[in-house]
Amino acid sequence: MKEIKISFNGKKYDVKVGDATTSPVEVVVNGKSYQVEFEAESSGPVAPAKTASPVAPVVVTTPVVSTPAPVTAAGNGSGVRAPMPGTIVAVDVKAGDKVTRGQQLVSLEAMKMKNAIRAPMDATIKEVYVTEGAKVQYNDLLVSFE
Amino acid sequence: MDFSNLKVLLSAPLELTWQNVVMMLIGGVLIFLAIKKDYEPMLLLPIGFGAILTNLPLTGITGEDGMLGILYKAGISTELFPLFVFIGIGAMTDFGPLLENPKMAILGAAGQLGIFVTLIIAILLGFSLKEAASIGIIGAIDGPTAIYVSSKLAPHLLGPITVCAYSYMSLVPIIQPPVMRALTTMEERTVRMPYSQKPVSRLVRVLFPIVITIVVSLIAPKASPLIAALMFGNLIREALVVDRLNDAAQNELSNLTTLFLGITIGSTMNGMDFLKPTTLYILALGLGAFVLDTAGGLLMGKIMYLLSKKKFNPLIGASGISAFPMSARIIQRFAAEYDFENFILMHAMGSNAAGQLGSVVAGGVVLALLSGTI
Repeated sequence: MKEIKISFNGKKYDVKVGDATTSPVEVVVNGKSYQVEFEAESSGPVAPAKTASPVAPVVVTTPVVSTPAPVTAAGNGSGVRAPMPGTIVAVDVKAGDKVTRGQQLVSLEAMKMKNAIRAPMDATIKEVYVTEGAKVQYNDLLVSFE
Repeated sequence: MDFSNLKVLLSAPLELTWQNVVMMLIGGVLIFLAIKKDYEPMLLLPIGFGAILTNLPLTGITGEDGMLGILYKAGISTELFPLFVFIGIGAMTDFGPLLENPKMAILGAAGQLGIFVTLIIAILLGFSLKEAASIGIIGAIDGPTAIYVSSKLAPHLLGPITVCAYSYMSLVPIIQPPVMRALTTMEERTVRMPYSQKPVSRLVRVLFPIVITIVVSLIAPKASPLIAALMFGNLIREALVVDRLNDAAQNELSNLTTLFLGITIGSTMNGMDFLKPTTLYILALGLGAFVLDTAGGLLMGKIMYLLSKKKFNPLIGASGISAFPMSARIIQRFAAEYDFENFILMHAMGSNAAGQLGSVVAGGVVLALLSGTI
């Protein structure tokens, strides 16, 4: 795997790109693995990933069905998804709230353990999609950011 | 006036030895820990009270016809109580995370390292083979297995072994994190593992307890009662058609057995038998077994970390012990301390469920190995 360190909008990302001659390509961003497929218009699967650094995060944000929410290369249009199935037992934010990185957004109970789901970055809450008592599946969108 | 009859009133206090007094104090400490510190109160509270009762002279309560004596004969000598508890645990355990990720079974095996290492150390310290095996089984961090094995192999050590096993079970949150901190690097602790969703069919869930019972019984027949009780409970849970039995196993059966089990175990804590250097050795060896279990799981986790090209978080190995689901939660909490976006709970649950199974099998293997000497 090729390792690339990039910063985007002032945030640092560790990107590892797998064999770029195949599609989907495995791309690991800050330890999270994504399957990235190339769109038809790109000139063959080889080109984009091989040019390395600036391309990688952009590639990651092209959504592919059933991958986890990208760790938000840019703050815009992103959100936080459920890391595992469970029940929402507390919602600590509402639309319009400004949150800082590490602040608890919701509490997700899985296997009878309460897990704090925290903000991955400083952001403003655009919408909260869950209410207390809601059952969520893996990868359900919980909160979106502006 | 003749005061000689009053001597009857003094006969019990005169029989009281210093050992009895110390044991009653220990019973008091166990009750204190249960109430104030919330250390396994379901067990330590009845054990503490049982310890006080048994050290009151002339009550006859632990005698052949006394309440605790009868309970001991009925539930501990026959091993019925630990088996009943296992039916309840089986009904409470969701083996789903293990079935989704069968490779976790390796971690459940590695988490039993402490049992066998401690067994060897205990032999070197001069314990007999049967005693050493019973002490090693504390490393299963599994109360009912410890009771089951030691009541067969070394009933005279039942009190200290049980108290030790349950005390350490309650200390999982205190004992595991330092071991994890010592044996893993920051890079290893922060490996993120996305939740992998692999639905397990109902057929697999129903077949699992049946197949495991048959396979384990054929390999280690001595483990059969333990594994069969655990798996029977699990079958009741997964069958989804016997809700009432499932409820009864998880609640009434577990609660009632735990109540009698605790007070009866307490009744084995007689001062004369308990206050010996042996007890201190058992406490120390039990702690060692526990630490070694955690270390064994972590080392296996590290091997999987290397084999997976650093995609496997080795912390998950630490939950290959039987304290289910407590250990998995502790591992999740520990991992989140270093990276709050890391959720390895479901993976740890798989390894923890494997540890639950592993400790029972290990108990059976120890019994099988020593069966010739029984």
